[in-house]
Amino acid sequence: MPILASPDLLPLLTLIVAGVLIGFCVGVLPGFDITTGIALLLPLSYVMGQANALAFFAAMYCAGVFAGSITAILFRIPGTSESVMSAIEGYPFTARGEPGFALGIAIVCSGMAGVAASLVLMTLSPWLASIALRFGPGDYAALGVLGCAAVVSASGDQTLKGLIAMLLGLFLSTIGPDQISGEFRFTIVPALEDGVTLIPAIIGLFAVADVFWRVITDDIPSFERQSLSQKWQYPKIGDFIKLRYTLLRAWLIGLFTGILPGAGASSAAFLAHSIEARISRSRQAFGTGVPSALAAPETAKNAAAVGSLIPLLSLGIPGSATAAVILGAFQIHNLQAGPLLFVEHPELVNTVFFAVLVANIAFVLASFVLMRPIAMITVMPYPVLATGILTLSVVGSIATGGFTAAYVMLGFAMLGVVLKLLDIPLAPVILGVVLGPIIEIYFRRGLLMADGDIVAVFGSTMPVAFLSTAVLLLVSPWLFRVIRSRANSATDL
Amino acid sequence: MLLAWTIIACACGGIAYSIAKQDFHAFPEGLTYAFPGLLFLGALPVGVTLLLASPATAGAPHVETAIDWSMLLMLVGLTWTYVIAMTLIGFLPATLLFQTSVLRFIFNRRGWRWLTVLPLAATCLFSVFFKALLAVPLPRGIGIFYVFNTLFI
Repeated sequence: MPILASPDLLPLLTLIVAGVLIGFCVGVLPGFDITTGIALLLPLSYVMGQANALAFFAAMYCAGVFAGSITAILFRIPGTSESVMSAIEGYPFTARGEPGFALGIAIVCSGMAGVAASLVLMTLSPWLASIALRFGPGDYAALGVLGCAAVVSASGDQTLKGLIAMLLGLFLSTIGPDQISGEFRFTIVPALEDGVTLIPAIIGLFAVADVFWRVITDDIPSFERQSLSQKWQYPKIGDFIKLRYTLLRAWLIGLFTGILPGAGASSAAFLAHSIEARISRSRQAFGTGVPSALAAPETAKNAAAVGSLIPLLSLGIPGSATAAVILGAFQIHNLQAGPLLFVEHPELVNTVFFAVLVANIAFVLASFVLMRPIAMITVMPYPVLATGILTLSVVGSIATGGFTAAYVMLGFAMLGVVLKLLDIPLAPVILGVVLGPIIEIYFRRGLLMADGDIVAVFGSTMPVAFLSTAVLLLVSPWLFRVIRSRANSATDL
Repeated sequence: MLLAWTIIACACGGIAYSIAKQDFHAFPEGLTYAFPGLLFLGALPVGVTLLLASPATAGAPHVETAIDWSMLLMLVGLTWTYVIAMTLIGFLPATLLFQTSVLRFIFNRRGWRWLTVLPLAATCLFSVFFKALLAVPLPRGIGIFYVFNTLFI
């Protein structure tokens, strides 16, 4: 039955709107990432139906990625990591009395990018899933390795540390009962006999570790509240027409970055901004309030947010850390993200498509109406927020898997603090935990089917292509560094 | 340097452990420790590279950031105690005490609003959220605490 004719349409729309509003509130709060917000609210999945839960979190993600821009532009405090460039490029508008112009640019560019990316999601995902249905075990295992390599290469200059984080995540995924033989591996404490459960791990690594880190390094967000009572002037259609090439460029960058596993909306925003800074005619004025400097990261991050759902739905490989968290909602409902989802639960996939499209339209409308009251949420003192996060984390973990899950959550919180201390990125750890079982299961299944012949498993075109690309992604940072240093020494001569 | 040696030591230990536990007689059915073994094998060159690489490549850890280790111990201790306390005294008193303790000892807040009204309001909010909205059975503790918690949740 079409969604628009379904009797469940009203509850679905209610949940989508609720997801948008909650995503707004989460995204606006400094020190509280949308990844953390979704992780903390994952237990809500238990009371929602499958389709409604996925629609809710998809809507929350789309709205949350944008919402950080509100405080970034108004108060120079990015509410989320994706909005750092919005703070740098958007706040100068507020400083010279034009907050409405900057916010209008951010809202409309994000909305248009999200809607356009939703249409790509609807067309590309089924096509990718139909190709993936023909994949063999070797193809999937190699794709998982490619996903790992992409995550590591997205760590920028810290490729080695990204690799450490990824290997750690992959190792953590091996703890617990082996899925083929049933033997318990590395279960040194009874709490690990069920393996590393994803939701408490995510809650501990992202939510609790962040609170611990901010407290022990005294990095408590604070700001001076400014008056929002003045009338705002919004941009006109002509202003957006002038930005058409910037929008198209940034949208493409965001979409491809989002599809690539591990890169995420933050990387997309930085990349789009840096490319715009190189080719824009007004690049000298960047940082002083230039519309294209703000439009580029805003467009890219929302395109990337929707783009990261493409590999999640069609291949079962999350395109970002937040998409990996949304995978938790699939697990709660015993769903397997990937091409079989399109075959076994097509109505569910259509619901997610519908939710993403509606959410991107809804947050544009909601922004113009609710921007000012929602921005006032930032007056919440961090101690209140932190205490709430800790309580929610503990009780949420217990709700997910009992007291054992709470101990796992605490263990991962400690791990998160250690990783932050060593400046090792956290996202590859979670992506490793998610991708590890995929790689191992298909690798071993392939070997069993080929009677141990590894060439037969990985020798065909697709696995070779995936593995070659993975190697290229891993060595490319070093190659670029060598080329750059040789170019610099040639220039010096 | 310490990180590099830790990785190398864990990798070597892991490789040895995986080889010892691996059932080579049941190839390919008994490849239980093949994947972890491969990971440890992959970690070895990473550790060696880290050891040999310059600080610019490896990235600098937060040695210049002042870390309040006593605060970390307190935070972990409080959270751990909260989890254990919930099994004994139930959700309501444990949450109230936890919130008050965190606000007082971690964030150094004083006054009756911070230490009484706020934790009470937050505890009620969380009870409603988990019990009414999520229908999650909250721990009720034992003995007299069980009776007390049952009155409200």
